Amino acid sequence: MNPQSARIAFALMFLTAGCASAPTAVTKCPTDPAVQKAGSETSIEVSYFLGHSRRRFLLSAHDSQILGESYVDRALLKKVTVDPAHFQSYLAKISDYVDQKRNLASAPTTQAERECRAPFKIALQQPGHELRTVEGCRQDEPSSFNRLVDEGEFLIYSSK
Amino acid sequence: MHLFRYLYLRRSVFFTIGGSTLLAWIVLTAWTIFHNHQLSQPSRNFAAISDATAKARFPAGVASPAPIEDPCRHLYRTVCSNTGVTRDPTGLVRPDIDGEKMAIKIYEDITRQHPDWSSDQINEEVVKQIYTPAHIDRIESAHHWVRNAMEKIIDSQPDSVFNAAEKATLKARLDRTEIQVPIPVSAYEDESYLFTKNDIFYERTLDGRTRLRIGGAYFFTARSWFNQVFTLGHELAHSIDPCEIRSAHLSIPAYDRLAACLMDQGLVDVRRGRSECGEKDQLSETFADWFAVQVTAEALRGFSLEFQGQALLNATTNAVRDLCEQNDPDYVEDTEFHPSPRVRINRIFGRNPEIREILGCATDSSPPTASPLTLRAPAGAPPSPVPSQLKPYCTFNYQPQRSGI
Repeated sequence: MNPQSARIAFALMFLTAGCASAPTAVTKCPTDPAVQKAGSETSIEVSYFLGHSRRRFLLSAHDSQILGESYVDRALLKKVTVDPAHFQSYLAKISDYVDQKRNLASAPTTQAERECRAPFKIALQQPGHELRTVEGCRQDEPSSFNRLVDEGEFLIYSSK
Repeated sequence: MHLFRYLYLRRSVFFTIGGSTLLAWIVLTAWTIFHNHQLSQPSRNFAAISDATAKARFPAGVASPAPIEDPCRHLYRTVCSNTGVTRDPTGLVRPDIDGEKMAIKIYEDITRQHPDWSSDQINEEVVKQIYTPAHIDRIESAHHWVRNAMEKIIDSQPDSVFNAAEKATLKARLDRTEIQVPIPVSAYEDESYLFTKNDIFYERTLDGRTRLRIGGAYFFTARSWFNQVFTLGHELAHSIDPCEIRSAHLSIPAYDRLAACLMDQGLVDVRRGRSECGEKDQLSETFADWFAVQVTAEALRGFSLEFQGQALLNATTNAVRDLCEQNDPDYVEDTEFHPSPRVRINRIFGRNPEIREILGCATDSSPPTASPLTLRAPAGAPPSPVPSQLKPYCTFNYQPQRSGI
């Protein structure tokens, strides 16, 4: 498989894997704001593989509330309301990262990326913008992506 | 009311039995308590790794319901039928998500108690509460035991499998793979979200170092020695798996023979789009399972000298029960790199001759034994597969069968 088709396959995998591994299960997905509410509200979806498990957390604006959810595979670990100010600060970091990564998207794919065993994906939806997604490999950029995961999960676990 | 009844019964006993009978009853009770206490103690071999759970009273057959399947025929169903907590004399295994929720609860409690703390301060406290000296000692001793067992397996191979240089290379790779815990906390600075995760995994860093990292929730999910042995065995085996060996520009002929066997038997799915050590390739994961099974068999064999019946079955179950499919009808297991859970449990683990022997199942060289496990097969069930029905278990000495002339 060439790098481009690998990336497409990877993206497709996450489109379903983010909420389920089988397309038939998509309708039963608990939430998927990045897909379901494209263009209407702000949402961040971060998915990544860790060891043998698929991780995902969502931060989405609903009216004046920010909802945070964390999943392992398909199981909900935590659902909370997040402080809007902290969310805005996190949103700015995610947005910067996504823009930066999309600008580099045309860079040649390395061997390590082709054999990525710890892929991740970020989907960012903001009003007035198209859905922006970036993918990568955790081992290739440990500090930048991992820091975002740290902060995102901290936001959820430190909220009530 | 219950207390009253209990006291009343005890009084009745004292008033209605004679003196000598009373003495016999006291002696018998004392002996029973002592005997149960003896039963509850882990084997000497396991004393160093036992925890409070292991010290709890554990008469065989009490902690979990009796198996409804013959493990020789349906090991997957036996292992995966219990979706709650499974206890063996060395500890328990609980569903992955429960362990993570426990770790997250610690995180939440700390943030609630210290709302003014920074994330670094909170992480510091989370690590202090999760990666306790007892937890670290336990995982490090399991790692030490597993590494030694793997080295023994390598050393025991004949020269026709590994020559002296190959043995030295493999053992050196095992030795170089450190188990890294977040002490100090900065050791996981790049992955501090692992504190609340259940995963243990092998990593090769960009500068070529190899290590195992331990998610904090794992300490709550798996206290069983056997789960630790299988999990660490699997991850440590990645340091010598065929893809890591290939990545290091090494070539070991015995690996090619084993890989051929794993593919011939369908334990590695040879499918469209598969690229060896790349996309859709299960070779390294199957190899890691295959090696971990041998290490686990060694651990179970020692254990089976002192524990039998339900305790032994629970220990066997705990070794691999986190490989079961998720309890979710919509869930589809990721099989890009891993064989399916049924293949992993039934065929890689369950068909290992040593595991079969320990469970009292028929093997290539022995008939089924009258083990308490096999006796629990439902009445009327067909007999377990006879040896001739089982394909030979893969080894480094595999010789592919040639068709034609």
